[in-house]
Amino acid sequence: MKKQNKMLVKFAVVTMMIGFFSPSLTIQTLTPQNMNNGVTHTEKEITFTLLQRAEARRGGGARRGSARPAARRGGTRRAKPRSAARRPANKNIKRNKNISRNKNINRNKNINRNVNRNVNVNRNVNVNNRYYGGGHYHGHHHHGYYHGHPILTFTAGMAIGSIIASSSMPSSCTTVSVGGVAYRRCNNEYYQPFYEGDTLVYKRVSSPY
Amino acid sequence: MTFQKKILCIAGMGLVLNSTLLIAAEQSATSILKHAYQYIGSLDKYAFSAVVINDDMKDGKLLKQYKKHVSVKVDRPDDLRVDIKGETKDRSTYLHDGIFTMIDHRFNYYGQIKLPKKSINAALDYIFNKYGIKAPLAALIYSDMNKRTKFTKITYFGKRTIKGAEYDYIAFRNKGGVIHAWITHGEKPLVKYFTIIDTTVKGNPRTTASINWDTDPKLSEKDFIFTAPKGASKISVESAN
Repeated sequence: MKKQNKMLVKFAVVTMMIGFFSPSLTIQTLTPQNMNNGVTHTEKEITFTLLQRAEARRGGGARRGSARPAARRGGTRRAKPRSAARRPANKNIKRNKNISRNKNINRNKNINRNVNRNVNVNRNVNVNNRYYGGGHYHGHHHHGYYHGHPILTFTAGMAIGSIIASSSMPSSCTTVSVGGVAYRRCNNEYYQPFYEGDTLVYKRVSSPY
Repeated sequence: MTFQKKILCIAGMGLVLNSTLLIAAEQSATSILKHAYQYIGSLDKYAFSAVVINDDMKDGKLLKQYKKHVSVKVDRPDDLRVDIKGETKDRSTYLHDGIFTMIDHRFNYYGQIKLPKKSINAALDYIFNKYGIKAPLAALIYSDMNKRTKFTKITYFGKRTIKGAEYDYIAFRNKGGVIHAWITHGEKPLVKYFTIIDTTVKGNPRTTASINWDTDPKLSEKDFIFTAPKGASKISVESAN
């Protein structure tokens, strides 16, 4: 009987210790400011040693890892073709590289696979985007994909079938309408606009004349 | 009662109390959120304007923040108008009489989709599932958002006073991110501010929104009827999925 009691006491003490010395004991809260011009945030971290708060933080709220000091916000802008949104798929790229070492042909196939996976990654993000419009803005450093093909930045002499981001289309190009279809003409090259979902893009086409 | 039994009782009570408090906090946060969505869903006619700021990230660092002004007009069951104006977008979208229209004013192009069902809920589902088109701030437009909300964890942080008004501050996590929301405290709970932290992307980019509500707007049918401007060209809409 005494042995049983001792065991129970030990169990209770260990349970309490696990609760109180849980490794994730920080909770992050945000405070909206500058309400008239949108919301920026000041952040503060509060440390609790109560079981309740520790548990709440583990799954809910915001993580410590997501905290960013205000000073970090607002760096300089760089123009590069890839964005952080595609980053989770990098793991896949590495895997595919291992598979495709043998033949160059296979490598090409793998590149296509990567692109498809990237689209899936975006879908995951869309779980938030769908209802809240969240996620990050895809700035001018990359334009995403159209059915597995990258959406390109405009340059003269693009191949027929190329998909071009509307934000990169030069303002010097003119709009023409042929047979009720609108085109953008840039130096005798024709680009047909269309919506890819809610994104306006152009497709390089042959002359409609 | 022996000493050991006393310790055991205290430990047991502590555990029960803590878990009860945790469950109570979660239930409180859930009911606040669902109550807000129920209230929004119960409104037949309303409008709101929002200032939305999106982070543009590169290698986990913030490159720039893009601000846009979003104006939404809702007249249930089937009329919706959204106008977005910002550095990167100048677009209006219309939902009227079973036709979804979006027009980019800068380019003077517009696209239209015929919808199988006229209601706002069915239309938003259709354009998202079939074309990958997301309505901005759709959570504040659906009438049944209280049934759609899914989260893996929700936390209530208590009341916060911002500019003299009292808000319930909650945060919840779902697939892809953490959403913090400040909801008007009281019988008419409306989401006043929210922040989305995208945890799937390095640097955890954010979307923040500040919302001004008008629950008694003067809306006319004209607000929802699209008329193509002079020189506008109709272009096709393809699926992004």
